[in-house]
Amino acid sequence: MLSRVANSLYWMSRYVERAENIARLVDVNLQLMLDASKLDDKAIAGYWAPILQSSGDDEFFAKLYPKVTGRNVTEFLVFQGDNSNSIVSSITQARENARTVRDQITSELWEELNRLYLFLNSPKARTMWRQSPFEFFQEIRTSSLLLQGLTDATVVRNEGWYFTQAGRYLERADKTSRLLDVRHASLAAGYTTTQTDALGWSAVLRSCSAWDGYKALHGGQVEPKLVAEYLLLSEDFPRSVRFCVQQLNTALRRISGVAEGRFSNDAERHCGRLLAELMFSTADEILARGLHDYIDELQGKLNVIGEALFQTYILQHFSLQQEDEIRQQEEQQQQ
Amino acid sequence: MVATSATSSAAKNGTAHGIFKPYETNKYFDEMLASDGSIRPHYQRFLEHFGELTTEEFEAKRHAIDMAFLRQGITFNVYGDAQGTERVFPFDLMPRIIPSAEWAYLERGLIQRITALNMFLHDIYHEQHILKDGTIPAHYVLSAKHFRREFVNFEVPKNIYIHICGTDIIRDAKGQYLVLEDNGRCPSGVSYVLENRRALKRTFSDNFESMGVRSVEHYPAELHKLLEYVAPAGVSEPNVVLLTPGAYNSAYFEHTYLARQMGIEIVEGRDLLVRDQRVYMRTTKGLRQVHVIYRRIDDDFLDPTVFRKDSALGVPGLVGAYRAGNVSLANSIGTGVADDKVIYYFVPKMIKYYLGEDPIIPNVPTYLANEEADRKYIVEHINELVVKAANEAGGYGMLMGPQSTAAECDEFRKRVLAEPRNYIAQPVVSLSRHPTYCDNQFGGRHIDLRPFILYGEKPVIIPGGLTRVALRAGSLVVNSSQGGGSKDSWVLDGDK
Amino acid sequence: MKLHVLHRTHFAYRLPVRDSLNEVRLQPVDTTAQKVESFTLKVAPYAQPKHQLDFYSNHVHRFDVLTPHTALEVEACSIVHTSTPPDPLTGAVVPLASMSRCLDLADCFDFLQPSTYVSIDAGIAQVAAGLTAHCTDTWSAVLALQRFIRDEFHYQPAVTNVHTKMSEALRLRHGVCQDFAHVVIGLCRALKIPARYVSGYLYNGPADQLKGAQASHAWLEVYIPGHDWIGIDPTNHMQTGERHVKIATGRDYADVSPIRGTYRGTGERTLRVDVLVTHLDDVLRQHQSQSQALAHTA
Repeated sequence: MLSRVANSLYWMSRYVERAENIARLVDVNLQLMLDASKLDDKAIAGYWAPILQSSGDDEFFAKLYPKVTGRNVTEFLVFQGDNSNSIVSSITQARENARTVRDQITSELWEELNRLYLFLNSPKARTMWRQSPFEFFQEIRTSSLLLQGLTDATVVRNEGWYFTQAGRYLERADKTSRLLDVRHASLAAGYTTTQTDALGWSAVLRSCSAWDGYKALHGGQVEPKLVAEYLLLSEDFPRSVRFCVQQLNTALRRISGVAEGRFSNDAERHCGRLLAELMFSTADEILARGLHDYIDELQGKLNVIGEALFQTYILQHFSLQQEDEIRQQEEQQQQ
Repeated sequence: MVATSATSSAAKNGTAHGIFKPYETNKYFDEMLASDGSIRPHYQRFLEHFGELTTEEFEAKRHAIDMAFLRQGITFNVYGDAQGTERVFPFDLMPRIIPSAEWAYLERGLIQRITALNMFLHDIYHEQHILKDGTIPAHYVLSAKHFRREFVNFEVPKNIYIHICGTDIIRDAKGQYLVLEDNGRCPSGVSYVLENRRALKRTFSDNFESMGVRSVEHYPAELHKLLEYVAPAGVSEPNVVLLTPGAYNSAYFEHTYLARQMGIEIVEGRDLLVRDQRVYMRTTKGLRQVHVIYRRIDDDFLDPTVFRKDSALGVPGLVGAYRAGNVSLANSIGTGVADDKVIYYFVPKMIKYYLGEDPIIPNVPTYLANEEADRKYIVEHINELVVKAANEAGGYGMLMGPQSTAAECDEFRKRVLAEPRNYIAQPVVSLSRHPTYCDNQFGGRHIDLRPFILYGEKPVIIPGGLTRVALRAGSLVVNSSQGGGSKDSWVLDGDK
Repeated sequence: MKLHVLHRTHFAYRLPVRDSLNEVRLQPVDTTAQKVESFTLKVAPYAQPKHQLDFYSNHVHRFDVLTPHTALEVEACSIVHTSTPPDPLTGAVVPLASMSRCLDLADCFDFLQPSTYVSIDAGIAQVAAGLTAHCTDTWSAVLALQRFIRDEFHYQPAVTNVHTKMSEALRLRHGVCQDFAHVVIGLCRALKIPARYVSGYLYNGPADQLKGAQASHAWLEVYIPGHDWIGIDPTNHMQTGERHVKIATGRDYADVSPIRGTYRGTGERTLRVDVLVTHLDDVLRQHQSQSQALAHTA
């Protein structure tokens, strides 16, 4: 497979996953605010600030908008073209990547992605967002899930598919950890009451579609430690960090053909090590070290894997040869 | 008045067929309506089915196709348009139908033409007999913009220069087919032929099979066969790739479409590199050699070490690998000479010269501004003529005399006099018209036809080609960049 | 004359470069006036040049050096027998006014057109017409243009460079043989006299009188119907003869550049060119007289 194509497939799926996670994040917050009553400006800002922090773009937001309001934050996260992590930007980039590898993906996949892109850029999308935000975010999540379903159901299990998987799970692991970190940070800020705290943690579960799974395991009692355990270490919940790293590990090994327990490149080495760590950690250990620090470090490790993957499969065969410009040989004047 | 067929009484009387209502053909040749208003025999079978549609059904089908094209991204990019860079190429539901005998005639003519063109290119890049004996004045070839001196005495694989040719054909007021121009570099449009057919098959799924339409589906397979045929000697399983300028090229949809249909990689310049005069592509598993490149990049951009130094699209060293015989290109380098509208003028002479035959499909009468008598005529009659720059395409660099203001005519007169080598003129041909659905009714719109010719082990032409239609009433410009649309082109098994 | 030509080109790069693709025109052509006895081409780092004739029947060698290198040396050695063409123009008069029909000759067409270095615009046509106002005969017009170079231009290296266009040289009135050849070519073409650029060498021994022997040299040829192509060397104000070794002809410098190519790499670079033309008959005579002298002393 062409290195450029592998790169595009990887980013296509990362961007789709990113868009879906933003939709989840915003949607759950909106639901949460419905449960609360009598919100003043400060309280509203208190709901939205962590969302911005989790996206890592809070400073950029402050440059564009005077005030943290629901309207501004969602606008920023959904439609803002200057925000490279907004839903519209993510889907645009996903589609651009898909466009350059159209021969590698199925028409069903392309058509749905294209449909989502056209929808987001139509006036209809903004109207819907204004009039019925729930319906709007539902639409994006549905479309994203449809894209994943189409990928699973229609794409041939070749090398390209494993690059798609790698992109999806790397992004998802990162986003799940960020969602978890948001609540942790809000706890530390100290402007939540115990009651909203519990609501906050259950919102985290809901935004990861983890509510039902968690409830089946632990009942209705929402305990921060159990939530963290579920989202970080669960073996079978498909959005937990461990599950994602497991899938990533499998994808990397399918690409290279190297068996478990061995490695042939840095991406495999780092990923294998992180997986082992997640398999043999407990929630108590993690909380003892501090959830925020742990998550920070985890994100660092995920970045290292992404970087190594790029170095191994994309850069080595692709960009390295491009480093030097072509120059004309100096010519001799005839005298 | 005698009706051409005895099938439908409605046809004889010129009355409506469901949603289709006949209109005045005026002075034009109409593909469907004879001058007496009757339906030509090869349209009758289609019209029987089509006539059953209600307006609502028809609108629903039209809408479904438009939506499908947009959803699938069957679009072309418009240059210089920052906003909506992608547009759907408008598609008209009513197919253009060609009876079997007419197609056989066109096929013979096109094969004759491509054969002569390839012989001509071989000759001018080798011995230059046709120039030396004065059949074509040497200066016309030497001054052709795309004549590549660097490739003189170079042996191209299998001695084929133009592998894929798109020749534009029109019909005059009498219905006579004429060749308007040849596209021997990177002709595009074939993906629309294939997609238009798919769309119509879905639309008329109930009775498409019964209409006796010849298939076009084998085009990608035939193209692939051709590309493998020209592989360097001794390569049994050649690695064939399609080289695209990238996702922002106006024909990018077509590039990915064809690559997918043929099951070959689509590559950009940056995916390829040359080592030891061999071309490789960069893959996740390392470098893999490439043997045949179906390139959709013009000569100028192929190799920055040889042609345009500023080209970022090409592959440094590619031309060296081509010269060394380690990679084959389709089309070959230097075929643009044949696209020059001045050289077009000489194609009938080439046919006579190389094949000893008379041209089967004639050219449009053409005046060369470089010849004194012709130039005088052009200057004096500019408002009656179509004046064209020799090396422009897509409807650019053109003057439609009768539709132009005096100032525009003056401007072109000046250009012609300043650079006579670069201009030709032709009388305005009243292109044939075809029923086309515009503004909620059927009207006659001017059309042309671009068949796609594959010149490999033996020539292959998929039945039909791309019918382009000028959607604006009265317009003779069918180019997609100038408000044109397209139709499916049906070649029938028989003549009815 | 039997001439030996050594042409060594040395490229040095401060940082390693690679993917060097080169095209050289260093092998002299065979003509009626000149026979090439031997030609060798050496490239260091080692490369195997491939030979081809180009559109104008010049010898082209192409080679590539792909591995990283900090120096590239190209050395061409030729042994060529030259002769003076018989004065071709005795009693011939070809009216200047009749020259426009040369446009119809396949071999002349390219040499009447503007080219990379040579433009032909109204201004240049005016200069050419002014210089030849009194001429009706083609050859005398050519001589008038050559006199224009002798009288108005100064031979001075380092004022112009390899990329200087004809129009710029015409304005500067300074330059070297490459510029002078381009200027005369442009003026000739403006008068519809076919003119082509010649790349070559000049033997100026034993005493150093002529200009242009320290590097590769350039002059031009004009086409006079009935007399074929005639070489003139505007730098030395002479018709070409046995001192001139012709390598290649083209529309201008761009067609016959001795070495051109591309490479990947950044950083500073330097170019050094050595050209040495030796008269082998002289060398032989010297050698003979020396050995005679030795024999005497012995």
